[in-house]
Amino acid sequence: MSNRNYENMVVKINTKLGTGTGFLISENLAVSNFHVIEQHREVAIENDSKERSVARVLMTDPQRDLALLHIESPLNNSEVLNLRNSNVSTSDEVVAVGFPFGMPLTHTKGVISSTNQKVNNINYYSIDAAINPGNSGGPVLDSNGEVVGVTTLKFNNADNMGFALPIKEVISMVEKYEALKPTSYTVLCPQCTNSLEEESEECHSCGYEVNTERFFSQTDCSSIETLVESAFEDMGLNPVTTRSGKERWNFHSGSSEVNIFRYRNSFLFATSPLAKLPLKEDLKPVYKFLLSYDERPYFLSISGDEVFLSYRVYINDLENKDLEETFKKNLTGFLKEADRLDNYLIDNYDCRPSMGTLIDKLAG
Amino acid sequence: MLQFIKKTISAMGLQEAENAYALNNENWKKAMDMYEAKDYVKSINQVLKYINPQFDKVIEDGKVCEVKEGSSVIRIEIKDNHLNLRVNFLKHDGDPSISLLRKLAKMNMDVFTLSVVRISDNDIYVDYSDRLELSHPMKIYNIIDEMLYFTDLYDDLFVKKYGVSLYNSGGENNETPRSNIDELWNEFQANIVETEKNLELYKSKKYDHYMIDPYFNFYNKNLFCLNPEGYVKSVLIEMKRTLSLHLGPDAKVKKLDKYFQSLKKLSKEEFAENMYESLKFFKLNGKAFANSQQLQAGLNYNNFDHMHTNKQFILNSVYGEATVYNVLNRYIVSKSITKELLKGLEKASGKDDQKRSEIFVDLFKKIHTDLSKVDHLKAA
Repeated sequence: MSNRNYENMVVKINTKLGTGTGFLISENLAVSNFHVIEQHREVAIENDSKERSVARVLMTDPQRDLALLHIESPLNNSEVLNLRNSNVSTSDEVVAVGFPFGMPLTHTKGVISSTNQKVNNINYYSIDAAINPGNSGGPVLDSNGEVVGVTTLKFNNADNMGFALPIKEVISMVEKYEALKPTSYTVLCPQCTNSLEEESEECHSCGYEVNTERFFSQTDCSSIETLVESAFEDMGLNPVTTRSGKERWNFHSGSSEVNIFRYRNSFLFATSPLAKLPLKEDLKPVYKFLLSYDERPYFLSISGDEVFLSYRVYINDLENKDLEETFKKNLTGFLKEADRLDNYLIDNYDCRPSMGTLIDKLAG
Repeated sequence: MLQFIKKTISAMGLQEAENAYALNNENWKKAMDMYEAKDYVKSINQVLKYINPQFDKVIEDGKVCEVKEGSSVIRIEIKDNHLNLRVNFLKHDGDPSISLLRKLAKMNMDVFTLSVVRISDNDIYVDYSDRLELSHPMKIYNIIDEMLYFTDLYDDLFVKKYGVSLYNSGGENNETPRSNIDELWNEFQANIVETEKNLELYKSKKYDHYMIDPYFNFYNKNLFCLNPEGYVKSVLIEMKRTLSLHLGPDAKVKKLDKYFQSLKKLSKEEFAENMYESLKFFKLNGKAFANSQQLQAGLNYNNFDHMHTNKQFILNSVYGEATVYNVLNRYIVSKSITKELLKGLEKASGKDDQKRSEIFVDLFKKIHTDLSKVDHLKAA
């Protein structure tokens, strides 16, 4: 089995509805599952260094659960995976690579337990490598590091029974993509694989009745999402690169990781893990700083061994239109304060960079 | 024991609370109406009256109002179009312990939502400040709730563990020692003996998955019957909070037992220090009005019926008693339901486990059915 690292080839896909996995097959083209990007025209791809870029969904095949994404600005150091042309056999060793539960990149080993598993009339390879939510869309690689399939399904009540769509389906879709060169969202007809470039109730080629809701609908923004994302736009951030699920955002402000999410339905929390507590005996000075910090509306706290900056808002307050500008100003201030304070804690209290800190973006 | 419970209920003024119910609803409606009419100062005053119908101070723009809450002081100020709330609850000598500082910094993540605990040269306090137009009654109620509930919960624990002093220690703090210390102490000791007996029984029966229940009964019974303050109350509430922690059942039982042992080793004199009446502004502290569905869920009749059918009489006997106290602790319930619950305890007293299980199933079924017919208490 190859010991290659795949962090420059496999990307996390962040959407307004959750996270999944994809992989690069050319500098500007990534593969994932349809169900990962469903209801989106743009998603964010993210590499292991937390760098993000916008990817446009240009071709989908809902029947085979595939999607091709065009990457607008390639990520730094990105590399592509080779697609295997030859057949695979039962018992071949494979590794599934992906971002289970949105966690960092994982490799899980297994074998192809069957090359001919039919699910909903589609042929899959069944594999026994551990697959979890978030792995979807990730590559299944052979011992040479070539892609043999796309992680697509798993049985919930079984031990390690995952299903990978054979790579020949991807190759076939890429050929259609190369022939059509679509510039906007295109769906392949489940019946005849003719391309549907506009929303249509029937396929003009074969008459197939199209599930327009599933194939063409786009997710709506809640009022909170609209407000938060308009604040990001004012700051010059592309909201697509900040999303990490429903009413949930995760991104970096300079060197600091920022999480924004709805809490208990009543609150909007913005929080940033600034730094880890120092590894020394007397932590009184840093604790005193945290508890006397008075830059309202922000405050500091500890969770585990990390120092957090927080800004919390009562959701009902955001219904007051007159206060939207104040909220946006406070959110902008929060991002600046988070980027400033991680350096401050490291420089003045010997704190250590947090797990989410981008070291190369720490000032000085 | 039953006489003791009845006396406790009488002392807790449930009738008074029930009378306050109608008045409270009126105060809440007024608070909402005034907020909608953008009369924010009046709305805040109505929220305070909702919390305590007897509250007779008036909050005015530009003035500071201070209210004693046991050993803490609530400072309410309206200034420059802002509502400022501050609860001073502890004093330190300028060099608080490192453990306390860490604990306080963690509370800002784990405990408080919109209020924040801070330290100054000698004070430890929780505060909140925001624009007047953002003083929605529900928000203000919740903020006052969290500020007073958690400062009351932790103040005595911190004094005992970390050597700080209460904000009002030694001064006039509205505390009156209880007159029936011997009776309370005997009840407390009886609860300890009963809990130990139940724990032994559960171990012998291999009820590993239910080892939490005897502790659940212990803290609920003591909270309700003894109505303690200070350290005893803090430990009992910590036991209650332990149930909602993300811990495995074994870890929870270990933690609960640690708290149980810390109370068991109290001397009578130490116990007596926690038995006082404390005049409080925040009268509903820890309790809430509940609607029928919430009460039905609290009693969980179906589960008791299922356990009874499966002949789990011991489990039903202990958990049934705990459930009665838990409902009385969590909710302000109507007099008729209180009477039903009391009658159930009276009937179950001294009976064997099978009979007790049957009594609790019948009791919860009757209340469940009655509640399905009439919505006794609408959610506030």
